[in-house]
Amino acid sequence: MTHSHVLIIDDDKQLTTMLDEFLRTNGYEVSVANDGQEGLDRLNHANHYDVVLLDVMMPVKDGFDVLREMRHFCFTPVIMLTARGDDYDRILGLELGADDYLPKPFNHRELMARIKALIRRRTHYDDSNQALSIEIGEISIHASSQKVTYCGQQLELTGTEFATLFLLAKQAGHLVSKAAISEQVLGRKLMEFDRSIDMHVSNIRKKLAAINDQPTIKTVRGAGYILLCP
Amino acid sequence: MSIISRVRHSVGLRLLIGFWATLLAAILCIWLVAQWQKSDVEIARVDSQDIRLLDAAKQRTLRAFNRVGTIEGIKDLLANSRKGRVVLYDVGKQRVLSPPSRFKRRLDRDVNELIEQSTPIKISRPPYQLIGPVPLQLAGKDFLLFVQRPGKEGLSSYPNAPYFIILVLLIMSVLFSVFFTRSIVTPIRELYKTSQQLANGDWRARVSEKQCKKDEIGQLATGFNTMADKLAQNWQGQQRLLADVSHELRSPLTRLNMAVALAEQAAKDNAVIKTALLRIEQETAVMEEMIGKVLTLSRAEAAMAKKEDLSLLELLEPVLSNAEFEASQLNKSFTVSAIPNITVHVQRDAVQSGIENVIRNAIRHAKGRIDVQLSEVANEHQPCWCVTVTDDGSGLAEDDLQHIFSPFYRAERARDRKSGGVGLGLAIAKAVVTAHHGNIEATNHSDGGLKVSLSFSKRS
Repeated sequence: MTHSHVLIIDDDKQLTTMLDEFLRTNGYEVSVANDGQEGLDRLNHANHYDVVLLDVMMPVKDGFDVLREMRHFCFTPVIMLTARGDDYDRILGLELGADDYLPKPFNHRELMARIKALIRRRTHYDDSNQALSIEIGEISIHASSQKVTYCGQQLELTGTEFATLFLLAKQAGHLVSKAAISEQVLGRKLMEFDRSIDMHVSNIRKKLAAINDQPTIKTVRGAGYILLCP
Repeated sequence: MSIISRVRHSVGLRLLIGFWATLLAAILCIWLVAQWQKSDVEIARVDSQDIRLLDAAKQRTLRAFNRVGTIEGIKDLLANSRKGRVVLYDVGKQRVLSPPSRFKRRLDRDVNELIEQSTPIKISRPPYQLIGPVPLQLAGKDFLLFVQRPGKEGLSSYPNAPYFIILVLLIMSVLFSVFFTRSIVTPIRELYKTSQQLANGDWRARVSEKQCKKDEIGQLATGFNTMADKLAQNWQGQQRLLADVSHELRSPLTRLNMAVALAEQAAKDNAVIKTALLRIEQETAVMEEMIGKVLTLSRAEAAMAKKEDLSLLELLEPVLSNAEFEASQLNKSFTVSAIPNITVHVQRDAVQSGIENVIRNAIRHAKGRIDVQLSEVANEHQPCWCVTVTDDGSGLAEDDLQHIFSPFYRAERARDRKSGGVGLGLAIAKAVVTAHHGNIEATNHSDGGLKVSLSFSKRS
């Protein structure tokens, strides 16, 4: 089996050296970019990365700039490395299309869990859902190609947004709890005061609303979300 | 609001009324002076026609006196002549005998001025002319005779003029006063508005260039802008410092964590090293939590974040749903009263984290029940909205109640527990409440638990 390839974009060289070593010992192939532009160049030239670890605080081109620019040409899953408690950073990252975030300082077990979850999700679609496609009203979802169309128009969704919508669609008309979304999409237990699922759903809603203003996803306060059947 | 209290509360209105009244008074004074000095009196020599008129009047008076016999009797008779009214001056009694007239006072004055004259002259004082004097004797007494007749210009030539002038003056003075008042009040208003924006955390708010003139108010505006620049600089400096602290302190912690990870891999099965590393990991987590809380606290104390209008529901929904989730994970019941449908003006993140801290504290210490009450207090002086969080834990000692909002203060019950936190949550809540001109208070509930009440001013 080929090793999964992780791209680390962080200006802290001592940290990236250790991360490199740590991930390699755990069986990953690792590339390191120590500034934003270098990271973008790497993504541009050879886009064979499975996960990108992207630091927010970098000189010249920060993590948000990199994320914004890379989303123009690729949807590789991104984990943002943010400062803990800085809601603004976290929310902005998720809004710009990050798949997950990991507050610094992070625990190595947590890091491994997040990376694994994103890679697992990716292979999951590639292997087991080859022919699977779902239609709910005007929304049609093709798992194999990871494409979604709404009212005939194609939606540009990140991996996490796609996975969330796919999960909601599989159980359309039924409540899907935030805990279930977190476990199946992000591969981790829902933590208290964690709003990332809400952010991803909000992104999906915005993208759907840009095409058609009909309400599609209903929030059930404190419980979860329902994809409405027409 | 009554007019008086409106005037009392508005410099603009006061200036307007004061200035307008002054203007009107000044105009009135000038008009009166002009009226008084107005020399529309014309003095002329008598011509032959006037002499004839005087002669005719003299003859008429003598004839009338011969017929009636008393002075009083002829007075009324002489009043109604087409050729002019006769006015007599009694030299002996020094008294004017004139028929009743609208202009009696002026007439008497004019007569008195003419009695010294040896030959007749003519005074034109619209609306009448007075010609005389002609001496004559009636019943052996000396009299002077004058003829009063309508002048060339009657009163009708300017009856409406004063009203028209008054109207024009009124309009002009109102316009002028409004213009003047606005020139003073507009910059003051703008200063006020800008200061409010600054107070609400809009650091780019400045008084516009056009108000920064050379006059005193302009200087005030310029000074105000300089002050705002300085404040904004300080604030930016502080924000940068906070961000730097956050970044600089966390980077070594992140590296420490990674080093622990590598060491852990190398340690393989050495239990002693593994335990020690686990300990290092735990302590890094505590330090990290403290850094986060200290940052939140200093942000809340600086109270610099921008305030925004949002509905109470929108503000509290994420906090409450998260708390509900956390409580359910711990098998504790979490109840919330109805959320009042009001709009509040707050620093969203700060207030959310303040309330969150109080609720999490309650969840941590509750035996099995947490209750959140939301209410709106419609006090006229200080309208506010309140959050009251009650748990069914063991409460606190009276001494602790005073101190739990101090940073790093931890009551006994908190120290006993593993989940004690770092002792900054309630300090953050207090700082947030203070920044919103509110109040926070902890009391022991009658059923034994702790009750924390937060109130936020609506106007904050």
